[in-house]
Amino acid sequence: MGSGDAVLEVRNLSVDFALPTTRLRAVDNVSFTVYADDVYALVGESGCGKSTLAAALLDLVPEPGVIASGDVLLRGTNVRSMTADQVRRARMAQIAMVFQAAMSSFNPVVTIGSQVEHVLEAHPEVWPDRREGLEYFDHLLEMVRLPGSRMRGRFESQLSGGMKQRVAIAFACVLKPSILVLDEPTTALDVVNQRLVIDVLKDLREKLGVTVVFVTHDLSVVAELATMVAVMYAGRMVQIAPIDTIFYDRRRHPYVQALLSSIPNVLQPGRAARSIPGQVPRLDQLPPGCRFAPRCPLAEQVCLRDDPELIGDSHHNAVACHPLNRHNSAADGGQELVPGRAVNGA
Amino acid sequence: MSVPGPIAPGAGRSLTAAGALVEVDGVSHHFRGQDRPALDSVSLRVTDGEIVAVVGESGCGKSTLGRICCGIIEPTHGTVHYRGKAVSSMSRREVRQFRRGVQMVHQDPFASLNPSLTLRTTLGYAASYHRIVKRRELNDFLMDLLRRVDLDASAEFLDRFPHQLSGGQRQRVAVARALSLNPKLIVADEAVSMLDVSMRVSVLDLLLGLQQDTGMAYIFISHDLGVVRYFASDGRIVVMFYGVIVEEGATEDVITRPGHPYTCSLLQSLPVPDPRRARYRRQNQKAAQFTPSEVSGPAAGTGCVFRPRCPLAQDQCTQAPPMTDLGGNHAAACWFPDKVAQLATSILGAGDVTVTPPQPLVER
Repeated sequence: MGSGDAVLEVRNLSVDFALPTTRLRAVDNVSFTVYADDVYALVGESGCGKSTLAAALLDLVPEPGVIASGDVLLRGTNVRSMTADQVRRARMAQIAMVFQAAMSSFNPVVTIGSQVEHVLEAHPEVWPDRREGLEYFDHLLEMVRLPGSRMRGRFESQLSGGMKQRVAIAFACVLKPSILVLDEPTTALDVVNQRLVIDVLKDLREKLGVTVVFVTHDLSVVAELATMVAVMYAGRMVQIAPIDTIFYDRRRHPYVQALLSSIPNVLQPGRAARSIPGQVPRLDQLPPGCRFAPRCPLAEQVCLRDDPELIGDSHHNAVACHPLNRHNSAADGGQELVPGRAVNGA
Repeated sequence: MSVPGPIAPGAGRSLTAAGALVEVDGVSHHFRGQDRPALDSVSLRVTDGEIVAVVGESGCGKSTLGRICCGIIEPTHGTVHYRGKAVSSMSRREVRQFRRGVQMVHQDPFASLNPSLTLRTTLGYAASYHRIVKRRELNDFLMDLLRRVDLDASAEFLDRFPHQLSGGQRQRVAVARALSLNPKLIVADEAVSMLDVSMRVSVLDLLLGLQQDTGMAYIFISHDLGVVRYFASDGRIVVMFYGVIVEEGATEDVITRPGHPYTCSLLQSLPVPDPRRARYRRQNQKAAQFTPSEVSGPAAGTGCVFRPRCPLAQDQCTQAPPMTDLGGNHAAACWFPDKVAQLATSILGAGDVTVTPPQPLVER
């Protein structure tokens, strides 16, 4: 966990969406560090800013979004101070992205093979000999458990949803990036294909040494794949922690707890899962204080008033929660949290 | 015109399916241009107020079965009975009652709502068409619908378009549209799989609450056995693989004592929110001996359809296995029930790893 070099550092990154009447902050002052050996999960519900954050890593925030402040460092080089040409070269060759709904990220009228050739043509610095690049792509296809050369002549429409996702993953690796970013890689797949994508990503991690950063709303997938977890809520980072802290340490953020409790677990009989009361606040109607406070069973007066800071080591283990941080800073941290001061009723 | 009560059963109907709400018998469906049928002689019976979960991966025919139960498509072979009467021999009036009585909630709430219609139009259309509500009373009717699905019951909300809603809200609108006709059966086709995990339980709870209130039945189509165990915990599971039912039984039986290797594979594939268990499983993948290296399709010709993917497959499997009774209305189509039981133990037990449910910091 967190060993190896820091391959990706995000420092105080904010992304704004400039609308005609207002300016909304989709990602608010987010920092985290991904090390070479990590499989890093960015977790949150729809609208929490996780996909926007992932796009910002490649300087690909869609209009009308703009990176308002902060830095993204790829192996120490600041993406924001690169020229347009340098950014173009870094994409796919250093940091590659598999977008959500890989189904629609292929050109439907061009074969998979010629789409790969276009990429190889645009990046001669990686594969001077295009034929070798195509052979490497075949090798990648086999690694994602698809029949290599036979896939190249196919069109997108000839592939099932699960196959498309794996072809997209192989495609993203063809320029040997050191970081692979995936937006919701298992969403919209059935469980058999989810399992395959999870296994394939683990294989790529082991065999190619690629650092995996993925975005998801599904903590079950996180449990299967991730080593480090960063949880976002309404544009803020609320907790950064190693996988076992998130799942087994009782000192987890109440939002993380709520997410865990909402999973219908096949190993549990009956109806143990609980939905999270309330809704994610709209970015133009953020509550004062902690953004999760209106839905939080631990919320106290201070939570409704003051914004909690992310306290701890933002590289490895940090949490933004007033009751938890007070609890963690207590002498031995052994005392139980009680909802004595909770304002939402326990 | 008065609001009609429960649909009266047609006079003189045959009672072959006493008590069954919808019964499909030996239905097959062959889509043009496909070399094998999407459904191959499937029978399913749903009684009033029952929850039946149809489980399987993409392409197993579960949606086709759901559509046939709704009358959206007609099977190429076999019959569909609604309240004891074959749909194919129904009068137009009876067909209307059937179509009204069985409603569908689709997977993708972004695609199933017309983006150019307000919610008022979307929700009011079917009820007006079927003359369930008078024009004068439409507004109250719509407000009541919104309340029943826990949406904001206001005129302002009714004048919104689908793009102004979140995914969870859209799915509630889709449920409200189905409810507007007072159906006896809702076919929910992957109704929560496009939603965030955190939203799923609230929509499932909504559907369960409506069932409590109205005594509706559900055909709940899903690939996620976790969701199915939650939703259909008092109901039944039917497991399908490439157009064939391979296992069926009470939900707890099928999940805790799966009788078919395909059910085992669905259980094993499902990501579980427990990293220790996941690590254990990855280390002992060979011991569990069941991870399809490649998702392969069904077997051609006769014999067990699951044979190409099955770790237990033997020569005998070139003969189609019959549904074998496993006790308590639990049956599976496999020649080797004892070996499946062993396989299930190795998958569900996952060795010595204790499965710890997440402990809340504070009991709510």
